[in-house]
Amino acid sequence: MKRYHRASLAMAGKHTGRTIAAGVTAIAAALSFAACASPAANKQTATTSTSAATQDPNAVLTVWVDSTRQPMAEAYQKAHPDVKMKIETYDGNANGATTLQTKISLFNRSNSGWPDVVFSTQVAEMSWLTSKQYDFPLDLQAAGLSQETIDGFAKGALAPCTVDGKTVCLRNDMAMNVTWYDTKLFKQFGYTVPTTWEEYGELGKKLGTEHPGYIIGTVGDSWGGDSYLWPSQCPVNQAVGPMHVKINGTDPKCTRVVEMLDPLIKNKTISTDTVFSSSFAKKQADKVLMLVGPNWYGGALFAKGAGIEKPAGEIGVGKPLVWADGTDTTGNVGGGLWIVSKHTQSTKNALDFVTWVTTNEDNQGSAPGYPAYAPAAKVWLSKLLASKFYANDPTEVFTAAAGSVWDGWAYTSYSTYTPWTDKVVNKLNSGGSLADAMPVFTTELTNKAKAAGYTVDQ
Amino acid sequence: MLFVLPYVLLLALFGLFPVGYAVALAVSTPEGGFAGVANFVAVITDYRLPDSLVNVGAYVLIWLLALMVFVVGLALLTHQRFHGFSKVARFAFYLPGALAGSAAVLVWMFMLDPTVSPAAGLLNAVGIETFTQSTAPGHLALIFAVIAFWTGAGGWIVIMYGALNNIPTDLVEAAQVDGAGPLRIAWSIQLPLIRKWVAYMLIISFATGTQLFVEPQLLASATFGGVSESWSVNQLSLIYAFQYGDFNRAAALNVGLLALALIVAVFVIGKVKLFDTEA
Repeated sequence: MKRYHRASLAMAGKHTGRTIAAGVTAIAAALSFAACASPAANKQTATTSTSAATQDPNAVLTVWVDSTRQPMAEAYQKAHPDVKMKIETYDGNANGATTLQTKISLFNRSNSGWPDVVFSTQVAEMSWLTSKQYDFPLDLQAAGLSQETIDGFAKGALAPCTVDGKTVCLRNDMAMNVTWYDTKLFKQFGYTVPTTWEEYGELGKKLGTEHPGYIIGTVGDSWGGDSYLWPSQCPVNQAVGPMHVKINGTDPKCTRVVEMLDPLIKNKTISTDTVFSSSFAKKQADKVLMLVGPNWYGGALFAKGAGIEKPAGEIGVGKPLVWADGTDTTGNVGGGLWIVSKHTQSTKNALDFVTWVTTNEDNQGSAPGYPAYAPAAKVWLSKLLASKFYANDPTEVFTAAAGSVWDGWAYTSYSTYTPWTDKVVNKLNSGGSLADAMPVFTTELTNKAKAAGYTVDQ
Repeated sequence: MLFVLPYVLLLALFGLFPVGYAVALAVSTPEGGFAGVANFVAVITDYRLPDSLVNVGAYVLIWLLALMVFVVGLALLTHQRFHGFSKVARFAFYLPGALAGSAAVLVWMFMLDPTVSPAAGLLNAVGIETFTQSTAPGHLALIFAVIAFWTGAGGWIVIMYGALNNIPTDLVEAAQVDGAGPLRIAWSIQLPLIRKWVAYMLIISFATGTQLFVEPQLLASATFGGVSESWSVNQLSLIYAFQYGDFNRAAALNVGLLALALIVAVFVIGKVKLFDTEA
């Protein structure tokens, strides 16, 4: 017993010794990793705006797209079978995902792995992607993009892509606001479709007493501010310069919107629910007299199979509403961007890809969204007209709206959408008014802007 | 000792090294220099932190109370019933825990949306007609506590059940002979003897509770920001890391959370003498 005990102790001792040695080596190995990946490794080396990578004619063109744009990338491959491509789908950096931020900072740290072309659903992407820390987009003009192509885009379409005078991305689609109206209901109630915001306010008051339950709009979407404040040129998110915004919700251009909307919110002709919620589809579907929203509502809301689908010929599209004092600009909700990496090893192919995908009339002509490239937009509109879905000819409406987006609204690296839902919609749902919510909204925007490093003018 | 080696290795690689790295990041500047307490000061003065702390505090309070009362209660109940039923009960309690955190949140998102929820009647009865109303700021601490309890309680009930099995049956029999009812036995004999297990549950649950992330993050995404994207402290840390690219401040925030959990752990261990080997 004793001998076994001593032997086992000796064995245990040897094992312990070996174990300790192994443990120490493991920890030492781990700590040596720490030296490699030290905090200092975060430092960025400055790159020029032209591609810093050596060109490789045999390089595979890596393209990141979201699932909606995947057909476009595949169409390019089909049309150019000689180009070696790798198409990868990802979430499009949509809905608050920080996929691109995460992935690109990872690639920057490890100095490899960048995709050649990226599609992003976020129209404000350039606000952070061009910063020194990420330094990702390629100057397209310097890489060979022609001025002629640039001029072909709709007025203001490339504003989110222009940084320091350089064109660093191409706009995929426009998302300008128009008015949507149900011709059947308008006829039934004997109303005329408003053309000014003042008329819109009056219609809401009338509707609330004569036909309660019907709505002419909603502020419950996270982009409510884009739909109602942006067209009025309200300086609640006004661009002053790079990393510099003006946030003032007490300006008359803001208060006129609030004063117009509050009675309508109170009599429930303006909903506080989001158009994409199941409750909206269930309760409001047949009660939508009018909506103010981006052009992609057509496919996303009213088309066959969509949330509040309507039969062909019922929905009409109207020009954006104007203010009596002559403010005739509209807002914008979204629009995707095509970005080329400045680390690409096949600049020619990458540039050719983004140019083709945004300007090719067949490709953009059958795209889900209104093309930002004007000639392609004409094709898109003619197809839309031929589908006979709308009660009227949408061509002139969309073209006019596309060119009247107010260029004073800031495209920021922080979201202006989450403060709207968090501070405004929640307050409205708990019985407050828009007038009560606006100061809270502007305070939140100001805090967010400052936390993200912006200078804020009041 | 050999048995412990894999654990020690994994602990070093995935536990100690990341913590060490985070502490190093927290006292560094992005360029690699020494920052002292600058990152901590910046993070503590963030305008979102007070709200996040209150939110997480409320959540942890509700959740820990529910755990203490319901987990221990259910374990005792299961233990005192017939054997056959207790097996079924333990399985039923454990089942929701098999769902990964995000899957559980998705299930609850359906439950909370009055338009699609099987409990729509209940929701409508308290005046909730839309998903936005369900997830109003005032309800969130409770909602997250319910979700966390639903997924986490089962595992702890099984553990408490095992702890109760450790109590020698002659103790309980002796008490029964003396005329003690089930409540008295639970209060005077079983509870004191499983207090170390309850303390362990408290420490672990406090640590995971303060680090709440998946539930508010998924709901923030689903409500387009209706649930604040900085509702919990860990979400704020994510914002620092991936929206501002400021890993140093994110690390400072998380080191703070770690310190908090350690302080509570040390306090509870001391109070309950968790590591004393005599009974």
